[in-house]
Amino acid sequence: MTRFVIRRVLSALLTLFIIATITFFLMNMIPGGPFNTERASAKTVEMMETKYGLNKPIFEQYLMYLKRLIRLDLGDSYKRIGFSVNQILGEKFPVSAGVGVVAILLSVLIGVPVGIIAAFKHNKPLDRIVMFIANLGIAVPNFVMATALLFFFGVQLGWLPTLGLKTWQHYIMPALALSFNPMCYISRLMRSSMLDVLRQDYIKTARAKGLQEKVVLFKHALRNAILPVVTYLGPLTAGILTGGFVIEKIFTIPGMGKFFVESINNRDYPLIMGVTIFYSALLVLMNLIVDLLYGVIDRRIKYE
Amino acid sequence: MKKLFALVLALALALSLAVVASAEEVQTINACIGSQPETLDPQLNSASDGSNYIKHLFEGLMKYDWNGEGIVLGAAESYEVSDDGLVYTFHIRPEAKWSDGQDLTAEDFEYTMKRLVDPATAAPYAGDMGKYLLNGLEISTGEKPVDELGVKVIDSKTIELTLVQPCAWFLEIMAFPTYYPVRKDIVEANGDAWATSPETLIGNGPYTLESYTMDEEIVMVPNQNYYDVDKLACKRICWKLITDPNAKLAAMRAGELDWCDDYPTEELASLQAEGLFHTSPQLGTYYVNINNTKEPFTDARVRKAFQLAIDPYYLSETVTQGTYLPATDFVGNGFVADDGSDFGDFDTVIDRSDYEANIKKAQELMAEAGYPNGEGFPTVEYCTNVSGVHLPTAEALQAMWKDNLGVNVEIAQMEWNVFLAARRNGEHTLARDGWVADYGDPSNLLDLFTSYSGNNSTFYSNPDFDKLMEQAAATTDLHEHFALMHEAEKLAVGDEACCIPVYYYATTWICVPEINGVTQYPTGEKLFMNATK
Repeated sequence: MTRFVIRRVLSALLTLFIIATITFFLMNMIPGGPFNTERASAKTVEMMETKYGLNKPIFEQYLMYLKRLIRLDLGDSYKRIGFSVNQILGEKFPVSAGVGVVAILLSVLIGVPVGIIAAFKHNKPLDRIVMFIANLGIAVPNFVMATALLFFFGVQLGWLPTLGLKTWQHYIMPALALSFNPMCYISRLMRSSMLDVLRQDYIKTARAKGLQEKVVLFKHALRNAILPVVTYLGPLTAGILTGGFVIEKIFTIPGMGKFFVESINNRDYPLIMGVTIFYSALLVLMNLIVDLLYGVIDRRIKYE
Repeated sequence: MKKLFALVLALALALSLAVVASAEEVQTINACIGSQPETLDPQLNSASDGSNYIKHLFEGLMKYDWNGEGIVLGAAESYEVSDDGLVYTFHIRPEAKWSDGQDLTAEDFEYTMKRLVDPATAAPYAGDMGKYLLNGLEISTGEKPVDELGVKVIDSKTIELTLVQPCAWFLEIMAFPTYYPVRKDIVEANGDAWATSPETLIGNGPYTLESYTMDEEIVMVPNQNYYDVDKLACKRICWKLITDPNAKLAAMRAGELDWCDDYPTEELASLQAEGLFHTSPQLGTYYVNINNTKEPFTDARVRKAFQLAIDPYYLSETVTQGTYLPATDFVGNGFVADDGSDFGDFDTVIDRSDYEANIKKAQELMAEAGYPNGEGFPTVEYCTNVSGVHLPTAEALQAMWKDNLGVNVEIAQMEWNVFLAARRNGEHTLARDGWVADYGDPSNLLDLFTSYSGNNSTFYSNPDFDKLMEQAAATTDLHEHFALMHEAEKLAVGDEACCIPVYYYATTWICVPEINGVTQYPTGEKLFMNATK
């Protein structure tokens, strides 16, 4: 187990190094630069590039970047003057993660039970209705959902605040919009996996033993049926915690989601690197946690 | 003892209630003029939103009057100009202070101006704004040491500025936020981060920061050390930092926003009907940038033909739904000098009175240049970014050139940053372009076509034009100053058609009906000192 973790951490570091390297060179290949503005003359741009060391050969810049990265220093933003990337991520990640945690809880706490119920009422009207809604939820993009929520509850009815994240009410619409799609996906996943497990021999055995249906379901079936959901939760968590670009824009949530797009549009090199590395690290970490959870949930899995 | 305790409790309760009540009485104006600004540092800023925040937090020797009266004395109480117009002596108000209570001194201004031109600062406006002061331009390019800047401290409240040459609009430059003072001790102790938090952002303007939450809001309250603090009608401004135009409108409809300079363009008709939409002229021009060094546009006849074959009236009415006005000159209306001369009094440099005749003339010019009915004319590219009116404008222009001249223009849609780089490097043939004046003198726009301008991306180069512009800059007679610039404009834009003016920009905004007293200038200032609701 320990050896497994060490090996995985080492390979994760290698993965991150490769991601950082590819991103660094790709980013420098895009035409344009951080100091292009409608009014900046070539001389002004040159002066600013000198200040930030962008006039040096690209490989030298790369080594300088790595040197800082080893010390976990992601550098200073070019477009938010006076803010370091560490500070920006440190301030913004908790904001996105706050909404994200609520969204993940919602999608799991609603998605899993709904999937189980649907499996139990297989091919009955309730199953049909639930799966119709779930299919719809997967097909509808979250920005449509967000706009609809905003229109009805924010503007028409005026029940919920539309801007920012000040009170708990502010969390309702963005969390719903973010969670609806994964919630529907999880319920479908849960349903099909449950149906599959319920057909297994050991469930028949359990039932034959005369165990209560409750025990069969929660002790024997659920444990194995939930594995695909856990797998899906890894990347989902990394994705949702770092914020949705569109959802954050629609509800004006000051999170980090927008940096994935904004930093590239601005050619804010340190921020591009920062969000990419941060997201990758989180993704790698989540996948590792998922792998470890497998062993806890399903004792048949052994780490070699 | 118990009684005493109860009394104290009751008192404390009453007091806290009183505090809450008085806190609620302060009226907050919620406004939005952009998303997260790049910086609030006067010298490092080059953006219009940043510049507007800076005008509330800092104050130059001169300032924009809150009531719209133009340039008036700011931190200075008086000034003298030498007879040759080269030396300005400013006397700083004795009562002028920083928001932490320290005296505002001439040394502060000296530090600021040196910081502006110092290449180590890498201020985006170092050259464009620093060039007025003696040696400013040379210092900004590293050719001369910072100490040689034409700034001299006479005493702690008197500063003497030496200019390169007389400048009719120098007082406006002194009201430009790039020249607003910053404090040496604060900047040196905190680095670039000084302008990011209320603790370290020490200014000398009417307002001071109450809080600054990245991507959320910037809250300003009156600076109690400001000499005219009693005159502020608006006691609290909350600048919401919103990106999405739909979110801005939703916030306004939900009562969370009072004033906003952006709106979803597709909602324009309904906003106009509701009376929420407003517009006022802006000193700026939207134009087609012609790369004068690229075939076949090296031929002035071809450029003129392209210029005459479009109909700005139609474009203004249909594409912008009347929000931008049709351009008949490169320099629009609204440039009025101190002596009352109005640049708008001159004849227009492009005659747009008869579109049909212009088309005919354009066709003749094309034939003269060797492209009758567009025959033999290569397919040329029009580069543009895609936001706002840019793409519909490009498509309408494309159709006009096709119909009237028989030429094929292809539209190249580019991502913003790629577009900027391509245009500046002269990789374009035709490109969308625009310029909004920083100060109310036509030279601000016409300088773009001088052969030595760092921002000349039409690459138009004509020694006669340069000479006229230099003569105009050197004269102190405002009437002559305008006449020379008009002659220059006629030469470059009228006769030689170095570019194609399309629209005059307009300032547009939406606001709730209750709000009053927001002062706007055609150069883009939005001042909230007198705002109430």
